[in-house]
Amino acid sequence: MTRLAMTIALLACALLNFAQPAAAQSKYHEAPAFDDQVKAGKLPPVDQRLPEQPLVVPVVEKVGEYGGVWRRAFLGPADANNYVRVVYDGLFRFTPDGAEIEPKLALGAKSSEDYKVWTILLRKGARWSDGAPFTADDILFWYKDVIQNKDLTPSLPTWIRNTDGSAAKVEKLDDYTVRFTYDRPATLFLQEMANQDGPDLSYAMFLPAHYLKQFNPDYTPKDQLDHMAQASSFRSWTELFAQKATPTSNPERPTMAAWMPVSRVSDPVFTIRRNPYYIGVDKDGNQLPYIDEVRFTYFADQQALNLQAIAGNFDMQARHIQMTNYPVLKEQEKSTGKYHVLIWPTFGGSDAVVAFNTTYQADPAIGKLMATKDFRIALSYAINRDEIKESVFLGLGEARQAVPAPSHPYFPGKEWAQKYTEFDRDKANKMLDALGLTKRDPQGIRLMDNGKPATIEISVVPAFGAWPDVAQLIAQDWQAVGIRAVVQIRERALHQKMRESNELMTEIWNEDTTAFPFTGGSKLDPRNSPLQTLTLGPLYYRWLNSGGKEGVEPTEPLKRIMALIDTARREGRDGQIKAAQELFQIWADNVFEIGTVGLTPMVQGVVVVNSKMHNVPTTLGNDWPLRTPGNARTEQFFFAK
Amino acid sequence: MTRYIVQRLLLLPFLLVVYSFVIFVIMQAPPGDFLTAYVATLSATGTSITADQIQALRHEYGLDQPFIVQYLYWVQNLLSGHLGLSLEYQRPNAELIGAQLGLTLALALMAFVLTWLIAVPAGIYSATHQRSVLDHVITVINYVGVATPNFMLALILMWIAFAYFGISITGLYSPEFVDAPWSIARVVNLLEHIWLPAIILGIAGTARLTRIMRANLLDELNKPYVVTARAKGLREWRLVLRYPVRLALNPLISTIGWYLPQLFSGSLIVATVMNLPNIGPLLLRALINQDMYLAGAILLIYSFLTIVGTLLSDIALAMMDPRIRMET
Amino acid sequence: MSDVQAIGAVAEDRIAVAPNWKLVWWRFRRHHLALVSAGLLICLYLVVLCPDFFATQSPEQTDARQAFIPVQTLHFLDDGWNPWVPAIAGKRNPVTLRMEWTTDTQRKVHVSFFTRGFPYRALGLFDTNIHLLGAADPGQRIFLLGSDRLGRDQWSRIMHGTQTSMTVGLVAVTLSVIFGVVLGGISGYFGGITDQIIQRLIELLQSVPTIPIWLALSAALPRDWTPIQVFFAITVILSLVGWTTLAREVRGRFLALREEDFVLAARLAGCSQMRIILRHMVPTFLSHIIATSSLAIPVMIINETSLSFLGLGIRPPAISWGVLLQEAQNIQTLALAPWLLIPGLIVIVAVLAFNLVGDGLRDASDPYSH
Repeated sequence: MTRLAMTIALLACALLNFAQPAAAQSKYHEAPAFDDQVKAGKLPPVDQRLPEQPLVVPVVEKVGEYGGVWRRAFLGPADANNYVRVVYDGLFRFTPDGAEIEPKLALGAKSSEDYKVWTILLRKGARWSDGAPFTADDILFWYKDVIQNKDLTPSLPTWIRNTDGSAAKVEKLDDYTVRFTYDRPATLFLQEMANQDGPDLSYAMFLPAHYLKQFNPDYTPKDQLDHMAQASSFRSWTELFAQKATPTSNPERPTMAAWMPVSRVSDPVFTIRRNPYYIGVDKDGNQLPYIDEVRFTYFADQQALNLQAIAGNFDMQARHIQMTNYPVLKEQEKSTGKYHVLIWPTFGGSDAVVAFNTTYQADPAIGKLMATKDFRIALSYAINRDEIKESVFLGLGEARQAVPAPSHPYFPGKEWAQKYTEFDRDKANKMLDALGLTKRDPQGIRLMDNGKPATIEISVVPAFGAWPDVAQLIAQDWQAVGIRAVVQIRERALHQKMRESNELMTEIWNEDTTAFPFTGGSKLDPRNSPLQTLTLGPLYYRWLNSGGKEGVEPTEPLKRIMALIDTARREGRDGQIKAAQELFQIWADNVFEIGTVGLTPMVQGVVVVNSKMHNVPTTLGNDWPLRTPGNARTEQFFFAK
Repeated sequence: MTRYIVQRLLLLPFLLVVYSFVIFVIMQAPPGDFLTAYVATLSATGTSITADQIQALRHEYGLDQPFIVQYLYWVQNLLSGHLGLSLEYQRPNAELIGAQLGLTLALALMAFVLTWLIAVPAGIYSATHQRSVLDHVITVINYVGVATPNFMLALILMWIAFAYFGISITGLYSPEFVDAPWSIARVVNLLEHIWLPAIILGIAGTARLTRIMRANLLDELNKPYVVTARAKGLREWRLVLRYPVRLALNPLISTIGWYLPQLFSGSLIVATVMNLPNIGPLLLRALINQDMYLAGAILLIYSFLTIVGTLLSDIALAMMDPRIRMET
Repeated sequence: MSDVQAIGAVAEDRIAVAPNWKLVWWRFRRHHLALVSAGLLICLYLVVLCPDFFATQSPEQTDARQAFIPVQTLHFLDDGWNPWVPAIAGKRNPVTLRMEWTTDTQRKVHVSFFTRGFPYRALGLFDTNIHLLGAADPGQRIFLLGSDRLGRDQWSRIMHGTQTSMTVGLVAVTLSVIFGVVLGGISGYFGGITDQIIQRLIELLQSVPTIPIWLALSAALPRDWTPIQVFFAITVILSLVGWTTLAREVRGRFLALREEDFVLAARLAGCSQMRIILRHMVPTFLSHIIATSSLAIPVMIINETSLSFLGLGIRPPAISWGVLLQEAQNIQTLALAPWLLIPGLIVIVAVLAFNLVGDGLRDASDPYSH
């Protein structure tokens, strides 16, 4: 709707008000696309579609106009998270700077003093995309009939568990209030809420009960379900249910997101279209989203995708755009003016770290060295981070250890972020000499206690183009101080298998969990499986999991880290900040993983934005838990005519 | 002749069983399975998945079963006519393959026809006009065609088209036509996009075929019967086409059977780079992601087509060359 | 007799008593294009023998400050014979972050031939540090074919890549030809059960497409093998797949030739089967084998390139043409550093050379062609 039309409409409303004070006044406005349907009676008027208290979404630049198709690209069904990030369909969501959590589908949340009881308030009058009411029943359905059903969910999600492994109590207080009762302080509850939007083939914590009941054995006889599953070539009804419950594979499934799927993620073009019942409005009362449709085109090859991005055929895309194409994009930006290029650096941490396996046993001599803090510090001094920054990261970012970003409350301080990051070969050599590695072989490699040359293998998965290059540069730097490094490029499956079985010596990866050190996905907690963490010490994990029967006992710093994590999980925000800062001081000091360069746009950080698209923030917290670009409040993006 | 064909046909089911086992082994050979590849893909795009979820999925997909159980389950499905479910797409494989089949065949047939239309006459000309200027030109073009890795050519041409001509050529349709129903406009759009992939796919094949055609024909042209026929006054072109060319085509016919599976799988890498909706990229993805039922289904169809193709080419060989018929 | 006739008679005598290889060589000499190509191949194989001699610096030497340097022009005259390349200065464009290089023609980096450079082991026998050419001042670096994203010299890397790729091609084809001719010959000559078994084996190998076989076999290779071991394994894998086409063609020929009179004559004369196959039947289509082999070497080279492109074959930090091309296979290279596609040109040239030589050999060895 154009500005002028809106003004006239508002005036007309006002006049009508004057003329017929008794007539219903339309508080809200909707997209012109719905006018016909509303007139024909197929769709209720917008006032009846919105909840009593809709979500008021602040805009970045200005109130927008309706219309347009947002073109994006994706790499296939495994890239369903592309959709998840765009819609960020959760009860709560992170703010653009990633520092706070705000309500989205929910109205708000309250917690008890001890954080054991949480109450979520839903919006009265909110509806699913097919018009059915969105109530507490939808959360209860998830709780009773999905996660407690052993076939559908063999093990409970960690965040809903009590200390004894049982599920926390979830009860419906009334249609729009749900209460969660834990036997432990659930201080990270809101953070978990902000990520329960059904990513990675998991179930969201609110499901369209009225639709999914027909696929659930608690409501439909089992043999009928089996029959349905067979008819669709599924092995069992659980697969059928999973498919029906996932928005990206089932366009008929009602959703609460701003756009609802009209095709599937396994189609060559995956389209999602404006949801007439979306609960968001802007401050002028216009129902969001502004944009009519988001169209994802399938690309088999990332290079072809990047070529299309350079040609300006996408409207806002950061995903799968390679950082190394930044110069070409900037040049095209200047010459064509079709789009502009933004940079959203990673949300703290370090974009390429060398993680040491401090429990490596295949070669005890080198294993002992790697477990020695001074050895790791020396190797950290030996790395020329400036060279890495210049050659691999286009000169972007900064040299830092794997600690949170300076703007984040958990930041431990500049001296910790920069610890051991100076390039000082002499210091490195001196420290290595002090460890007793004074003898060298004819090629200049230091000899260990057993007389063999010190050789370290660096295992690299080329998940990001930067890493093999970083590995080669580090290998050369270490060679210069007398430690031979062999770079071994492996494919992912093998690398992860070796990590789990304690066979990796060191590996290159990124540290991107520094903003969320207390959750189950944190790379800093040795209690998390090696599939999550890096090769910090797989034998510590085994020790912790077997109650001390196998593996190696974690060292004091790691024990302190675990204690800090446990404390933080019981405390409120201030306590968490304190615990986090101490944790990162220990982390930086011990260099279990040597950070090289961070705050670069390596992970989906180069953004191509169509010049006609507005309300896209120039800076944004860029991380998976933030569902970037979801935290930019995508429903308020619009195209200027 | 009939006995020979029947014999081969009887062997077909037995061969398919052997192939199905070999294919399954090949797919299971790389370490890890679909889920490890999936988890790795997720982590590469900056997401994470908990160990519990992975375990649940593994159980759901039946990936925690021993190898032989998985194999038998697959065979059971095949025997009842189901090609199974793709783990990645969560859709029946028959549906996925069927959707891509038409275009794959169209593209491959175009490339194939292009190849033979160019290669055979070029080879004949090259052999009969040895050392002429055109012969040298054809020679050089052919060699360059064989020498260039065609996936490299694909990306370079796409970049040149964009950087210097402002055309972005990926996929077989412009965005508006991808999902549209069939119409004249859509066909025209398809033709506009299909010429470049067809050429790239056809180039290497053309070169090889021309060389072999030329070599074979040269062998034949120097045989005494050609001299005799010439002496007897048979006109040059009639002579060349009736006898030496037939014989020169002999070895080529024996390989024509393999075009059938080629038609089916297309050229994996080129189609991936150019983003063509083809069986080739589907297979490549399935292999890389270890989506074993999809990969297995495609490979099995491929093998079946090869067996049929080889049989057809043997029959063709026997028909074209009576000397072979005498033995069988 | 006149002089001309006398010379003609002498020449004829020489031809009459010359062994076959001499005849082939004399005929080969007449194809100028093939001769030139053969010369080129000899040069390439010299590089294969000792790549470090031709390299100007270590192929692994990186320098972040010298990334994406374009091709440097080699000038030869500077007050007489004194080759030099212009010095370069680079600056990162603050807006586009692209490294921009300007040449400073006033400052020169002198190049000398047979100069002393980095040490290496020649032919695996003795240590030396003499190179064909290099910077006169060992502290400086020259980039005759530009540098890549890590500041490595492309000229030197191509030398090493040549060694790997050409060797893989040759060895793989040799193995393939041996397999193909032997098995195809047996299949075609004996027929019956042997034929059936070998044909089914061929079908088995052919029907599972090459890329999945490569994927599986490469993935199954133990990861702790050195690049050399991986390299040989890849060669064997490539040859295991390549022999089938030749085998089928050979079989086709054999089926046809089996009924020929000369074979019957040889059998009646008491020749053993093997002798008949190798001494009598094979030479008749030797030219076809040569033509196919000469086309197979480059196919093997391309296959190696494809494998490396998929990340399966020879992987970095080992260097082959495939690895070099794989590193160049992205938009960044095409847009900012197109000289990194030069290995592709080298591939084309090498393949061209092989094919022309193969053609020349085929024409020269064909006993019927005059």
